[in-house]
Amino acid sequence: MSTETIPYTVESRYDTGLYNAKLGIWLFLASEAMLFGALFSSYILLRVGAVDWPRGSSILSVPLGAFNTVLLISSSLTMLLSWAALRLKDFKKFKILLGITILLALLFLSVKSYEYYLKFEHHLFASKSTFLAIYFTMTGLHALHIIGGIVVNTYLWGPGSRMWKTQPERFTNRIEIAGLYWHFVDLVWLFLFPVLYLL
Amino acid sequence: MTTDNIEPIKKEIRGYVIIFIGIVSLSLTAVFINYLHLPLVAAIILTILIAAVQVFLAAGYFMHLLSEKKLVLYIVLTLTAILVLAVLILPSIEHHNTIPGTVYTNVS
Repeated sequence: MSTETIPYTVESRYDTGLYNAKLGIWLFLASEAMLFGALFSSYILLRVGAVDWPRGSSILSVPLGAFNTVLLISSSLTMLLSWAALRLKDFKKFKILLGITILLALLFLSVKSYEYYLKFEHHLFASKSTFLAIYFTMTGLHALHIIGGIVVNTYLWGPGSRMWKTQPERFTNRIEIAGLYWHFVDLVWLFLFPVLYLL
Repeated sequence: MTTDNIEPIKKEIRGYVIIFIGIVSLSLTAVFINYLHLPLVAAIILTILIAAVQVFLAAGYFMHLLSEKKLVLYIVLTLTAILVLAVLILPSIEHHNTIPGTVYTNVS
């Protein structure tokens, strides 16, 4: 069995000044920014080219969207606080705060599902209009990212947290990286909410 | 962990809470503006401006872009910004057919 260890999981590389996983997540987020950028570009083109475009607030529920925005920003804060708790060597507090982050994300998905249910109940499907097509595409892709975040955070909250006993600094870095992804998902929503619900 | 290390982290936490309050307040402001039923252009400008400030706060403080001054990050992010802007702007330019000297024929 090899005794070699993966380099730069804790210490920074001399050339980049970052540990490898952090550079990796930033490159991944760059590709994600281009993915959502392309979708926003599609939205602008569809809207500019449309003869008539409804105001989001006439079709979507602004209070529910605003509530979801607050939920997601709150989850970003608890994610940051869970990372800070690890840096303060308070593992119990970390578990509580990351647990709250996961619960807030699940609540976000529940509200989103309820919003979808309301649309489907009124036979408002993606095939009904261009607005609804881009709404379901963008919010659906965003929801998939939320699900991905929940899976990763749940692993780090549960079995993945065993690393804290053996390699606490590496585990703290993993939480920081998961946090960077989570803040990005939050950041995308900060654009999606006004663009789709308010304009 | 010494108290020297604890104090800066606690200060950071207070900063995160302030930024959180700022982002939530801006979201509520955007919703409030929506209820004012402003003309569409004014609503678009105000709402996008608010969203841009929120994204600046989230990326700058929550993702530590303002404090983490690493050249490699700025290179990656600058290239990303250029490509995202290209993705946003180029289709619109093509859409309006503003390329000088091009002759378009109606084939329908």
